[in-house]
Amino acid sequence: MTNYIVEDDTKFLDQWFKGDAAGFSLLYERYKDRVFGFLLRMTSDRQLAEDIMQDTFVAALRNRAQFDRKRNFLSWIFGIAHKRAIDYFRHVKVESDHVDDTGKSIGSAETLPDDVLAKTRLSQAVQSAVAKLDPLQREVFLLRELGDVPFKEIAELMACPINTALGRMRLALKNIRKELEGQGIYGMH
Amino acid sequence: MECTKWEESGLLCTSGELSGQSAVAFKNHCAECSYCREQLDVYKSDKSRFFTVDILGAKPSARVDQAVAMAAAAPARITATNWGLFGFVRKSVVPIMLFVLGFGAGAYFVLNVQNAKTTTVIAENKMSKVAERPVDSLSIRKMANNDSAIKPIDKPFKTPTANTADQILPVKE
Ligand SMILES: [Zn+2]
Repeated sequence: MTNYIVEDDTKFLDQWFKGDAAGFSLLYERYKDRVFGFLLRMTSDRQLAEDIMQDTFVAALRNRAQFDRKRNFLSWIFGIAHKRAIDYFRHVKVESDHVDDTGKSIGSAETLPDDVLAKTRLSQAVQSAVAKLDPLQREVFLLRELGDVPFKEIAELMACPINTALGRMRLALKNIRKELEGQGIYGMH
Repeated sequence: MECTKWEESGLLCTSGELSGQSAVAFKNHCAECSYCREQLDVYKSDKSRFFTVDILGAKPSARVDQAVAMAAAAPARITATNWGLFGFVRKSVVPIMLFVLGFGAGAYFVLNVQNAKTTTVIAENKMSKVAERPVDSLSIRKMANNDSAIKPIDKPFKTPTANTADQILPVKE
């Protein structure tokens, strides 16, 4: 586990909890790309991802008292982002569209407005492989790899047994690898 | 052939969620299981090459940065956590009020009981005095009508004895 993140966060969290907004701003700067990457790949919609992202961090600011200092800040913020994204999908009743989006996302990986990061073939191939994943596998994979969320917490967020979360992660890794092999990326150094 | 230990323990090992004993057990397992060993190595390699923030992350627009910065700079929403000592007092208001109300109600009850007892004693004393001394009808009437201390007594009013009744003097108008 990337404990170094937690240790480095402590001083910023201290600052924020003492009422200095700069502490929170530094945490935002540190993690915004992770959270936004997660939301963008969950929604495949930049505008929507940005709205949820803004909502997530504002909610974190307002609910500081609910943050358990023993926890990892990144996992906490990912928990909020995940909940907001799921709430959105429930609200607009596009669960099935969300599932169907997997197929659409494959072909439109290049059109993702992730301009800077999608420049190289490697980036595009990995993003395409992630976009092709089953939504539940993708959710676990992104929570784990971008959010550093422990499997135990992923299981709680997704309301499933931990073995299910582990099974989805195993399949996600296997499918990404298979996709990259198909694109001739795997083994490329 | 795939080994189930990879999913059961291997992934938990990569997230640092295996307890010390389980971590050692998985390490020992890897020494014997080429599948798990390979999966672990491939995962580590994939993580460093493909599963990076540069590849999986993305940059939000300046609009979000500005909105979050403004929200962070806005006066902190008043919560009990940033009120310091006053926050403690604020949180304590309800318990203190409940305590005061409870104490007041208790004190009122105790004092009332005490008062009732005292009233009874006073009344009894008065009655016994009435019984001991010659009483005229006016003083009895006064006690019955005007002395509020007598009213709460639930004991039947002691009528003067036959001896004292004989000594009742005519009322002077
Ligand atoms: Zn094994």
